[in-house]
Amino acid sequence: MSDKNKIFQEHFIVPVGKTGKYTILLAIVCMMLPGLFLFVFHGLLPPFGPLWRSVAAVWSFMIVMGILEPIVYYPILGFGGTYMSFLVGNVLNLRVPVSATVQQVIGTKEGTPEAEIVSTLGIAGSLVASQLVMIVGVLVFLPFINRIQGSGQAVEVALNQVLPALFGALGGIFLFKVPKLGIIPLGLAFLVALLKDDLPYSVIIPPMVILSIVTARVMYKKGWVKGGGMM
Amino acid sequence: MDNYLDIANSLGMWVACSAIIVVVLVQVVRLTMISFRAGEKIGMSKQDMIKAFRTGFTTSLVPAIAILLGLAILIPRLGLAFPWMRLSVIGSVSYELIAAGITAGEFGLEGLTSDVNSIIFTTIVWTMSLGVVIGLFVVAFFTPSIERLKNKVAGGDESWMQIMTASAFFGAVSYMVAQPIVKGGSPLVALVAGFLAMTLIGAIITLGRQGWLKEWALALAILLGMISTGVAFHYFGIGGLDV
Repeated sequence: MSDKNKIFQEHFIVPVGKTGKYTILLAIVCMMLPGLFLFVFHGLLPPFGPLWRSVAAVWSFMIVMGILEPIVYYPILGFGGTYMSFLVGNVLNLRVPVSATVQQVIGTKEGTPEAEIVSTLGIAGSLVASQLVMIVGVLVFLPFINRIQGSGQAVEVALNQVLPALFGALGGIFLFKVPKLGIIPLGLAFLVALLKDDLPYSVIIPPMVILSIVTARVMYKKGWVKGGGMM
Repeated sequence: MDNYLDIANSLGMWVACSAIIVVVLVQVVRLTMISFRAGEKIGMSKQDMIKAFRTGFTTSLVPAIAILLGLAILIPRLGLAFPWMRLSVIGSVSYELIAAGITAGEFGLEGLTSDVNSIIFTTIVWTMSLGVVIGLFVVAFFTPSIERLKNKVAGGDESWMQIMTASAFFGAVSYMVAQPIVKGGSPLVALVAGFLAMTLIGAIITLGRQGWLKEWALALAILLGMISTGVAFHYFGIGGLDV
């Protein structure tokens, strides 16, 4: 190992790894505070059945994404960038492009210690910007929060439909980007919905996730779909 | 509807939601300091490092404002404090909505309607929080050995990993995309309008080369989808509160 790499290992990788690990563990604890607050101060507890079924449905896809996303984006985000990006989110739409841009602007070569430091600093700047904008945004929204409710029936109708609107938009993204991957899960889900349109999500989501991955695997093996630049 | 939004917007909720933001800021400050020191030791110029931080900051300002639009979408049903925390940390507007929708569905609700009450809200809070811990544990414990992990998972085939991530997501939302088609009424109006809005915005981005719109596309399409249901109901009597 060259001198430079040794210095880098000792003064960057080791302290960043330590800080990254402990801050994320601390963040996991802090993430439970809103729920604990609801329990301790208002006696509100989630009923066990619906909670574990909801969490199981969410985990059935988050386990795949939670493991694969850090692996896929690590080459761009780098070591420090990975810890920061996955703690604050908006990884794909914000941190990945920012990291790539910053490395390009400074002109570092991917995988070098210089690129690591530049990526970490760029993402740090990105995070500060996000947090700042969010805090300013909250201050702007604050006076209005009580006025949104009860402002007429048409508004109530619109507010009730936030989820279908999201799914329509996501459908648009699928069709634009990867129509082949979307067609089988969507088609099959449509058939299931025709038969029964009020299945609990914990019953339908896990098998759909598995089915979608299996069909994608077949298509990938046959060369019908390709990765790279699709996400 | 009970008074859960008063609790969701109470001072105590704000305090509970702020703690994690402090952790994020501590992490950023620590890693920035470590980077500057290590960079100087391996002979990087201070100007370059400041430039890297500044570039990250400035290129993120406008996209970060787009996240605020997502925040506005979550406020009516979840209050301001909790969505602020969720979107400041880890979250994205689609994950939060999907997790909330799954939870509401387990209680027999058709989406995030005005029937959300304090118990459902509490369950949504816990589902969203517990839902992301897997990914966080992976990053906390496996980042140093991620290169090795890569070869173990999916044989190190990066193209397949990207496809697998995308297809897991498709599988997760497919039934929820299909439901409004079968139900009709306001949900169908929202789905079709959200779809058309996204297609239109996508066309503007690609054909009109308006790359900056990318960050805004999802939140804008959701908003347009919602507005369309209000308009369709108010002016054409399509749909309503019970469909």
